[in-house]
Amino acid sequence: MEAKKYFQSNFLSFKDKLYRFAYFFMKNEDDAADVVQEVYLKVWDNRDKWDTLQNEEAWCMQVTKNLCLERKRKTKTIREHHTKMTVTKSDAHEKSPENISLWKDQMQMMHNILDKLSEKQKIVFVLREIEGLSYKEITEQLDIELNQVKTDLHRARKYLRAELSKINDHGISRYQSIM
Amino acid sequence: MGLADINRLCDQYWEGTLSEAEENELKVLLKQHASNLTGEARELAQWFNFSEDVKDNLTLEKDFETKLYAKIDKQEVHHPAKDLWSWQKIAAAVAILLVAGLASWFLPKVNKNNQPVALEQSSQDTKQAYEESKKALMLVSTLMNSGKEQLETIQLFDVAQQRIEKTLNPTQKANKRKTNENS
Repeated sequence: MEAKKYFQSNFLSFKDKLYRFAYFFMKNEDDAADVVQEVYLKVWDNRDKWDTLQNEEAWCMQVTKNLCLERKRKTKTIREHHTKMTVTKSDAHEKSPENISLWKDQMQMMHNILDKLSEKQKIVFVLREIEGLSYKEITEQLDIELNQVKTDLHRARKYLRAELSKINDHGISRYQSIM
Repeated sequence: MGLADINRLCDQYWEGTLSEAEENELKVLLKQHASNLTGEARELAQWFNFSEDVKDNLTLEKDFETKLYAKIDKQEVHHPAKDLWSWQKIAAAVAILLVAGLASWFLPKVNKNNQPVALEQSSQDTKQAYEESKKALMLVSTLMNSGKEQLETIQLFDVAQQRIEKTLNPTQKANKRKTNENS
C-alpha cells in the first residue's frame, strides 16, 4: 500500500526523536510512548493532507507538544521527578549499577533544568542539546528567529551551569570514578 | 590544544559566544582529554556524554511500529461503518432531490388551470401601472416648468445687476482719479 510506504519513510523515520521530545514533557516513558502513538494515529487519519505539509517533522513535533500539554492539563497528576523513570533497555545489560545511578541523577538534573524553562525554551534546549540540531534547523522547525534560538539556549544553559555546579558542590565523588 | 584552551572554550560555551563548529570542536576535545579534566570542564564533559547517551538509549520499544500498525488496521476495519453512514446520507440527499424534482414537475401543471385568470390579472396590472407612471411623469414635468419660471426671474435679476454695475463704474473711476490728484 502506497500510503503505508510513505508513512513509514516520511513519518516513522523520526519516531524516536518524537518519543524523546514527548518524554521531556511527560517525564515518563509509558506516557511518552502513548503520546507518540496518538501522534502517529492522527498523522494516519490526516493522510489526505500529507501533500499540503511543508515540513512533516516540524508538524509532528507541534502535534506532539500539543498532545503532551493537553494530557498534562487533563490529568493534572504531574508525576514530579518521574517515579516511573526506568533505565532504558540497553542500559540494563551494558551499564554498571554505578552508571545507571549516574544516568538517573543526570536525568533528574535535566528535568530540574527543564522545569525552570518556558515551553519554547524547553523545546529549543532539547532540540539543540539532545537532538543536536543546528541553529538553522531549529529556526526552521520552530519558525522562530536565530537570535531567539540563541537567547533561549543561553538562558537554558545558565540553569544547566547552575545545576552542574550544584552537583559538583555536593561532591558526588562517583563522577570522577566513572569518567 | 591544551587544557587552558579547553577551559577558555568552556567559558565561551557558557557565555553563548561559541559558533556551532567551535561547539563541536569543544565536544571532541573534552572527549580526548576526559581523564585530565577538572572543575567545570569535567562537568561539561559529563553533560555532553549524558546528552549523547539520552539520544542513544531513550528510544521507543522495538514493537512500537507493530503495535501502531495493528491499531491502524483496527481503525480501518471500523471504517466501513462510517462509510455506511455516509452512504445513508447520500441516499437521503438523493431522495430529497427526487421529491423536489417531482414537485416541480407536478406543480406547474396544477397552475396551468389558473393561467387565464392570472394573465387577465397581469394585463390589468400593466394598464394600471402605465396610468400611474404617466401621472408621475406629468407631475415631474409640471415641477420642471415651475422651476424654469423661477430660473427666468433669477436671470432677470442678474441682467439688472449687470446694468447697474455698468452705469456705476464710470462715476467710481472718476472719483478715484480725483482723490489721487488731491493726494
